[in-house]
Amino acid sequence: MATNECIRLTLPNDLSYLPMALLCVREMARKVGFPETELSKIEIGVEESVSNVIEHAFDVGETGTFDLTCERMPLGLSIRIKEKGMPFDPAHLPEYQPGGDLEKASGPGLGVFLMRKVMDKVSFHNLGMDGKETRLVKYLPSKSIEQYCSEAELRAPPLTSEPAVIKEKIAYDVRGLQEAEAIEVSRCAYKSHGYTFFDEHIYYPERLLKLNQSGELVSAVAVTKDGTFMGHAALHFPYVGAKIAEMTFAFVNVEYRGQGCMNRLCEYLFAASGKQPQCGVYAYAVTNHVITQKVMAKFGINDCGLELATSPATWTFKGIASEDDGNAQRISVALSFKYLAPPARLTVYPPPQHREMIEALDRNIQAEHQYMVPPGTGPSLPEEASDIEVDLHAVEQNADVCIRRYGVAVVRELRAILRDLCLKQVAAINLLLSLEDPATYFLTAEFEKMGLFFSGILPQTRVGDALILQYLNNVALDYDKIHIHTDMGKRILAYVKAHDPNVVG
Amino acid sequence: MTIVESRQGDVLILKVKDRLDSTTAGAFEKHVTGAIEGGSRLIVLDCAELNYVSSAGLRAFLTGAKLAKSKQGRLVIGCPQVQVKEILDMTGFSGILPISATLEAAVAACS
Repeated sequence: MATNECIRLTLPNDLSYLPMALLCVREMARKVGFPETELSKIEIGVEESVSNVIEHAFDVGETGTFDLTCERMPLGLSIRIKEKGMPFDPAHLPEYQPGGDLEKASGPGLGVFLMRKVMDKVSFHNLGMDGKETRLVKYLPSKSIEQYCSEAELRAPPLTSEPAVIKEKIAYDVRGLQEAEAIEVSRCAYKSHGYTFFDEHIYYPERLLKLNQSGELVSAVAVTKDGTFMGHAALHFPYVGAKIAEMTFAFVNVEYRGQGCMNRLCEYLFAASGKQPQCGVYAYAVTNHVITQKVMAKFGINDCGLELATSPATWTFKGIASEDDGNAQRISVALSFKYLAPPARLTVYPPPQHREMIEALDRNIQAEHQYMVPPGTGPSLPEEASDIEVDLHAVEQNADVCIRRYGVAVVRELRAILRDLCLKQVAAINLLLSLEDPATYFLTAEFEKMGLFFSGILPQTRVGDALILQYLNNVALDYDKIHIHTDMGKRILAYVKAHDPNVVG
Repeated sequence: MTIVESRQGDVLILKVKDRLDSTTAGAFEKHVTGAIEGGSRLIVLDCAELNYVSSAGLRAFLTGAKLAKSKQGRLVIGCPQVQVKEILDMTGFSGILPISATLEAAVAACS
């Protein structure tokens, strides 16, 4: 079956068509390779979504249709249910709480709860004039590194006053990932970082291979002359057609630190012919130590933002002493960027209160744009719903919100999204606004009134060159525990702190 | 979805076959509530041949169980298949509704 094989049905909003839809999904899932034990779960996920649409997206007696799309992905199956019915957000249904007793048990929210349990990813998207879409993802079963290796094999060497680092320089190669090495990559990731990478795929060797085969991930490995695995780094393309890729999954086995592995891995990725991103690479470097920031700076991946409190406080790094042992606060990350091709000169509309900083950040990443002030005293917005994409990362308790198109009620819509995320106890929210859209010039101040504040910029995102604002939901943050390597990074830190409404005094 | 009725003493056994989903749960619920309103307070749902249950089916279980309890009766789920038991576990229904691995145990639990 071809990697991008896709089937699409348009069905009436009539439950009597449900068996047809589920049969189609079941057979598609079987074709993709799901075992019999998983097929019913996939059907249940689709049934819950379809019945939500039929019951809530249309008036009683109203005839309409919805689209069901099933598409094979490198790691499994993607299912989308799209309709142009009434505004309805399943995320606003009461949250079903399992447990309790018979008297208190009730049904509302059970469908969404079950959907989330049987599928690996569930998200709801407002597409503006194009309607609404529920997206479901199910990954093919695959073994994690813990199922490949014994506990003893996964255990990191005990920390002593002198780590077992090989001091003499050794000869080694840096190249693309070979199939047999995927398990070593996952093992190294686990030993150096535990189960703390946001993206769990790194812990599944089969998934790593499939992602490299599809091009979503471009891995580089360092191996000794006798084939011993030393380290890994990768470029991750966040979506099909992405013009920028994230430098990520960078780690080196303890004994080989000091051999210049990371530098050579980065050199390889930047030169990987035919596999580089069209425009540039970006990276998030933790701020509880500065090791990664130093590597980024060395390769000219320069600071362009600071995202606060993005990951849980329990993240520790095996073999790398934090500069604040006992630092219990959520971890912030420094955002940096490097163009791999000369950037185009864009017309951008930075909000006046941040223009100077945005221009400085652009210079820092070697971009030169035309900074304009739009005409008029306010944004000209279409009389339609905004197109706002929300990507919730439940494990990390953070969310990315991207305004792809402003509508007339965008302030109210965003406020509702923020409230919903806060009620879900999301700790940190990042909001991407297009700097190429004149409305951003006017609307940033309105968003800041909601408690959002400056985070940074990022070129060539889904919305073009973007201004990033951030929101912290009752997060205790000590700025003195954020460690920054570069001068511009320190300037960004001071600027972010100065605009953080949570800072008292 | 089909339902086959049988009795063991005062216990009405409803053998539910095939699927309980959004298209069949309504008829199932009507059958169960009708039986309870008709005087059958002790109900065993024999799920040995039930191979699919969605939230619609679970809600029907709940409605039947609450109605039976309101009549000083009892509704017990008997011999669920592995995939159905998994759904009952993940939604917490295993802790709300009595479930027995065999039909005999379900009838005994009901009596």
